Amino acid sequence: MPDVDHVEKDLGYVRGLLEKSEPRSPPAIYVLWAVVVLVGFTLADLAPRATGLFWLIAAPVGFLVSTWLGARAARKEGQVDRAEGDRHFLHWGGLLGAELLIVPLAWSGAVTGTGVGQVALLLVALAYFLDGVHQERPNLWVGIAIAAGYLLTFVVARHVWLMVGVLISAALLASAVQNRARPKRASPSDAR
Amino acid sequence: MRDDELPALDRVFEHGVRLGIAVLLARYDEVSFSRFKELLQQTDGSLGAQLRKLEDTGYLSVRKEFRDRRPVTWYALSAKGRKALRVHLDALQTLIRTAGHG
Repeated sequence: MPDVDHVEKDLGYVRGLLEKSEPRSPPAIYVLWAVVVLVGFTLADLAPRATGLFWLIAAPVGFLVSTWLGARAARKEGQVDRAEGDRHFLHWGGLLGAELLIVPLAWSGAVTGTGVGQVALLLVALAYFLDGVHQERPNLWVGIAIAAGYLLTFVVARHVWLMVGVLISAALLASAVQNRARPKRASPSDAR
Repeated sequence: MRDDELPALDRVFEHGVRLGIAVLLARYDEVSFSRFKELLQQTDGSLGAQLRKLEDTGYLSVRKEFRDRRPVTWYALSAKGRKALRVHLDALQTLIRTAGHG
């Protein structure tokens, strides 16, 4: 009868390999959005009229650049998971779609002024939080930071969007550092 | 369960590194040689030998391309390899379950 201990050891080794190989978004994507957020939220306080146009361009362009960065990182790392790529594309594409659907709310007057930003922020917070739950754990904390920023908009009057932008950018940069620091290799093999 | 009633394990996967290669390829669509080397911490020669064994058995498909003027070799699990791995993992599960019941 085959050696069960050896079999269990091999299975443990394989489990370790799978854990270590778990894909993660490249830090460049977090840095990209940290910069976009900082610029976009600063504009909301300093040049509010330009904010809408900025996000109408920056959001879809940022989404496409992020998609390209993710695919490039996977090929560079030498590990391709098309299903994972599709999940990311649908998740963040869904957020982009939801954000664009805020436009009719604003045009119709159903939501005005700060309310438009607050609705957008809440959607983004939920998207990041759920991504953290199901795909990339660091995004859970980014979602919580964005939700904190959303609450801040109800209590702070001056330069609130700049503050929220700094908070979110900091959370994104922290995730970039965390993603970069995670070990890539499995622990030394004891496989036969 | 008697030994002759136990499902047969696939000898190709009885080597831990080969099992690791196959499981990684069951998880991902394609993995490159250098990524295998990084994850499995094997030398070029040792890793190459294990990959060749799997390829010769028909469990892997291989694709080469150039990136930044450097050759990159990509591996994927063939349909035959995927089926063989599934059978082997089922057999391992049965073996462990049987050993647990004495």
